[in-house]
Amino acid sequence: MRSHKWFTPWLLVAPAIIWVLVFSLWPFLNTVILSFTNARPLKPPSFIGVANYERMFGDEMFWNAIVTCLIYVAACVPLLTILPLLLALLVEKVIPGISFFRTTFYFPVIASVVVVALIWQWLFDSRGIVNQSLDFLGLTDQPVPFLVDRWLLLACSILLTVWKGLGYYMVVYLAALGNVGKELHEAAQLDGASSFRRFLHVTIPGVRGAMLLICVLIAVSAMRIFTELEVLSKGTGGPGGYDMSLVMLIRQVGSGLTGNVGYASAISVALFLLTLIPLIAIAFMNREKKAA
Amino acid sequence: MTKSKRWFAGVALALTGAFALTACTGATGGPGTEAPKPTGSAIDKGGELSGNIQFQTWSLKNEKFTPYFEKLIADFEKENPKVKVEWLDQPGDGYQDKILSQANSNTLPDVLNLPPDIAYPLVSAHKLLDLNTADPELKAKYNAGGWESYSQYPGVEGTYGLPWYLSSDASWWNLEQLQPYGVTADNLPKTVDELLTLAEKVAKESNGKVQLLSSIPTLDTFGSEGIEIINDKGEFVFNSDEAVKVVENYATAYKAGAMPAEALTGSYGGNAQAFIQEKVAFTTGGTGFSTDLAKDAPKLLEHTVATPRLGIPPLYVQGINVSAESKNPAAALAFAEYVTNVDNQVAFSTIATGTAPGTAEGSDQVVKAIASAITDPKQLAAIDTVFAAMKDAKALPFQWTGDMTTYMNQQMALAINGSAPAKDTLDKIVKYANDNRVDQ
Repeated sequence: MRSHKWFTPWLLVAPAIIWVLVFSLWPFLNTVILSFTNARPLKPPSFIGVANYERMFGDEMFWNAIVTCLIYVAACVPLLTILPLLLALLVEKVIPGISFFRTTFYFPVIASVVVVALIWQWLFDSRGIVNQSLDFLGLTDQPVPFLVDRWLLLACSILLTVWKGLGYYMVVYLAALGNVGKELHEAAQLDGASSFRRFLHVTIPGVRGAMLLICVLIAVSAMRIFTELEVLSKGTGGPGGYDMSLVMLIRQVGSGLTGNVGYASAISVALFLLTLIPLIAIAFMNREKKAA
Repeated sequence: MTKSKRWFAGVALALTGAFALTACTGATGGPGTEAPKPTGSAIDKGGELSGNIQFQTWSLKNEKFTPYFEKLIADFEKENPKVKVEWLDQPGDGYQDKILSQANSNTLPDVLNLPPDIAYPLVSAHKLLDLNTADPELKAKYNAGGWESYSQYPGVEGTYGLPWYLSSDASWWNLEQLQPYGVTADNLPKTVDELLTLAEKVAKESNGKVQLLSSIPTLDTFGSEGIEIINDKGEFVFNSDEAVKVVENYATAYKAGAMPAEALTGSYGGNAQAFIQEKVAFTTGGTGFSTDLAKDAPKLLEHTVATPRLGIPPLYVQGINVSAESKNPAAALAFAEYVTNVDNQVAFSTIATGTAPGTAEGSDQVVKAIASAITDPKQLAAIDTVFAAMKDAKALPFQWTGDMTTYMNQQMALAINGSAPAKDTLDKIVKYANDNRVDQ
């Protein structure tokens, strides 16, 4: 067999390396560089040191966005980790017609998030079907301001994200549940373990890997939430901009012909550091698991 | 693989993923390039023109306007057989982003359509041609207010756009909804104060079922009240006592139920939509609004009347600009002048009903042409109203950006729903606007 030159493997991976350098690493480094400048579109940037970061730490809108994102993460991670698992357990059994339910639960995943958010906007409008129903049932005498109250708007958006994500993570769990040995369940059953104890001591450890992965994916995407809040608040982030996420803030300050690109870059770097936290956390958790 | 290598590989993988994620959210603009110097010299259009030029419009390639532009270009090419004009059209949404990407990549079309506020960043980057220097005889041919809009950029001499078409707004009222409360076409409010008083009265008497207000105060609102928005130094100064009173009156009306809660989002589109859906009995809109009503709510049109905007009406200016980087400036300038000459502007305004030509003359011709072409009396009345108001209309300062509008809407919503004092809110908005001024 003919021997390969030393650079042959490098040639094979070169396209991937070039792709990462050009489309991931360079934009990232460029963003970091711009964050230390006063860059605006069409104007040569000047170095201004850490002024953008100083402004960021004193910016009420930035801290509001951080709070919004953290609440989003805190609500979505547990809900989207537990609910899809319970849903997967429900549709796991092979019974006639189960495909219909699996497809139905998956349906929101394939629907456009913008379309879904618009429908939810109509539902929760002050004259939408939800308010009309509450009025008809005599539960309210004034429309509930679902879309213009800081916490109600956030709750509606979280609910929408959870509803839309359930089906996707259910499928991930279905794949993971397929790898949990049936013999373990049978053995536990013979030992007299109840359904709940089998769920706790057999099912959960069996899908732990998938669960960790799902937690990280949800945390990262919740930190970068945009469309749901953007559409439900009509791009304003609600009264006071309290429901504005970090990505919405970056868009607001950095886009357009007069955008403050330097400041938007500084917020982008902050977002990067925040998204890094769950990635490092999972790396540590995997390390501890292997060490154990 | 050893344990430490595995750990290193894991962290590297996580970092690469995070880079990929963050790269997507990074700012779009890169470091700007050194702008070329403005042309700064007269352009001779006397000789035979030749070569290719690109002409870009803003959301005007459609059934209504395409025949007009095709004929316009064909006529120009007939007069100048060696010139070929390529017509480009950009969608309404994201127009600024498209202009930015064209300017960044030095691919601005030779001739393009920009309002004064969008033109300013290009002017300050020396991307547009000084038309006053290129042809000093042009000034006398155009509407003085429109010409001024492209000539008043601080620190920059010259004129960077030929006024193309001007427009303004009217007030629209649903008389059927208001009639039970003693409101007729003859006693409609004429000032913002009267509007707010009536809104409060109607909301109370109808127990919140009939609402008049569909938007929170905007910069337009203060402009219409004659409140000084920007001073001679270019600083925003609209946090005055008069402005505080306007905001407080709006807050009182909101508390009385005169405005749907959704109005707090400050979406102008929602303003007209709310009127069409009969959620509110008053809105502002251009003369084309009667066409929207005829299409979406013909029964509502029967009960709708248009009156002049309350206070000082707003002036919307559109212009034709020439790129400073055009490889064929003589043909580009000649075409820009051709698009904006009296005959072509009159023909355009006759189709774009409700717009007035940006030339010094031609408004009378447009009114006559429209009167003979339009049979809908509601639309004719609205056009009359807007044309009559145009002479007093005032444009918003070009320094006011979309980012400032968003911030204003966010903060104003808190003042209107009673979560923040009006004075503090206005101070915050003015400070934000001055801190982020693009002309400093």
